[in-house]
Amino acid sequence: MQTDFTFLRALEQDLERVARDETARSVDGRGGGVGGRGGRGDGPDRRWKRALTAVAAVFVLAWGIGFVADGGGVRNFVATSDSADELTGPMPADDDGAGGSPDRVRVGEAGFDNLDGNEAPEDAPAASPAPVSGTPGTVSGEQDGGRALSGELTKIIRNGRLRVEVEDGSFRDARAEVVEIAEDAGGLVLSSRTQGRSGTFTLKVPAATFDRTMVALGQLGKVELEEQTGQDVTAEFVDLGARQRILKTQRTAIEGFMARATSLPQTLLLAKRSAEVQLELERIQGRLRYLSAQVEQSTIEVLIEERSVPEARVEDEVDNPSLLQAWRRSIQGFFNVVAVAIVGLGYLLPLLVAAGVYLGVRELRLRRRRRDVDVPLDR
Amino acid sequence: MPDGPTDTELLLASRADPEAFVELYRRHAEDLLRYFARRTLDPEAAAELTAETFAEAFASRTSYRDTGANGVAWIYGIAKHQLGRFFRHGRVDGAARRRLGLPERSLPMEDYERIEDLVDFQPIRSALVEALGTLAEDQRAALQLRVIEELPYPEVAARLACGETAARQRVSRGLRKLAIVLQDRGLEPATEVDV
Repeated sequence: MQTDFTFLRALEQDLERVARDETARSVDGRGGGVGGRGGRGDGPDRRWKRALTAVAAVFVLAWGIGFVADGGGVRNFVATSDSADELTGPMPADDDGAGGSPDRVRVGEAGFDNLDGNEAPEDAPAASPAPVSGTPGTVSGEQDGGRALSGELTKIIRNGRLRVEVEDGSFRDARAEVVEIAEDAGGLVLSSRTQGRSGTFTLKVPAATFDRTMVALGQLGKVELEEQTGQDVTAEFVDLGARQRILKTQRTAIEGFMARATSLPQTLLLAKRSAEVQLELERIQGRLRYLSAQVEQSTIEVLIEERSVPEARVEDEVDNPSLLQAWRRSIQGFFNVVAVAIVGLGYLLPLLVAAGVYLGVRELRLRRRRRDVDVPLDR
Repeated sequence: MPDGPTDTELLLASRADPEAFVELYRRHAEDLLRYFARRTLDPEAAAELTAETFAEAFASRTSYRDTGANGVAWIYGIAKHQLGRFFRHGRVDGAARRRLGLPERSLPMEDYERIEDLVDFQPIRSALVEALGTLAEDQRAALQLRVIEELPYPEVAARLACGETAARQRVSRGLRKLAIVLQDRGLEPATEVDV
């Protein structure tokens, strides 16, 4: 460069170096453009990377906000539709595998300090995140910490598990107390299995007394494990109710057709159809009765053992994980994460709109500036 | 009209061949430095603005659209934008240089006087005298000696009892403030010079 200015010569060398570097990057296939404003000088690959990074960042941010907004958990997004087979076992709470996982809370020893003393509230709200008290099968929004469920229509099956450690030599007394607690709650001990100084008891109690019973059982000794599940079957109730009404209408119509049937084939056909409708209707009614019973009666399984009972005997009660369950849980977890992120996106929406407006205005200003600079200036 | 490709052609070619931009720089760097020197009166600011303008132009060259006007007008558009920001904020933004990874370079001693020579203070001398009253004492004294009495820097430094580098910086800072004051009063130094 022919100039007397040392500064301009140095600047020329700097620009040459930057240009060479960018040429080398282009040759390497890393895209052109060095630090162009807003990525205008970038290659398409880099722009895509930036866009993907931005989307990922927004998703993570949204998930974080959603997580916090949701009270730090994903339990509100648990699916609840289960097949009939899943509900036939004595402890539906154990059966994570099918279709939907019930809302579940597991609390360890540390979470039960308040249950060891006499001051523990009867409904134990701190230990009952899926609260139901009062009318069986209903949940009020206030009790549920803000879940906007319709209290009148909501049907929830609640079950619980407890593992309580009692003092050596007190197992027999504890066993008697379990029976007493079940009867006081208006329920009964459905089954029991004792082995030496430990035993497992399955209680059926009205849902209205579920929380009270859990607290009372916890006070038998030191709570090693507490697990509560809440399985919302409202959707299935509504669906079955609708199907029941339709089938009844069909049955009435078929009966009308049969009365007016004029030929044997018509009569036989309608009779066959009538039998099918009746069968389906009875199946639905049976299912509704079963669900109602499950909603009205909670199942509590309590394992009581003396302090010195070896751990190995307790491990017999531990569920064996299965790959199928793990897969289903992973699917459920994926949808939980997405659902939480959607909540966060809702919170972020105003900011995203503001950012869009800002970027739009910025782009307009840049375009105006480009138009301006095309006009030659007086030097 | 230079031989070879036009400015527009160089700008367009620089999208695929970044080194073509350097040729554009060689053609217009000194003119742009003069453009800034006449408007800012400040050698340091003029040099920084020149570097920042070319850095911004290089980084944004892919957004250049050929509208039929000379390509260099696009660069002067960026220069005008940079100058406006300088007068608004009283300093030169270094964002484009940082983005490109260009090093911060201080103005060499020998360039101060060469850049000042690009500015003809004669037409604005009376306005300068009036605007001098708005400056700090040390800057006013430095400008008085350098611009009004036209003393060489060694003499200015001796009169101010400071080093030559300090004398240059006082003159430079004073001129920068002076340019802003004149701009605020509607007296654009370059307009006066160009008439």
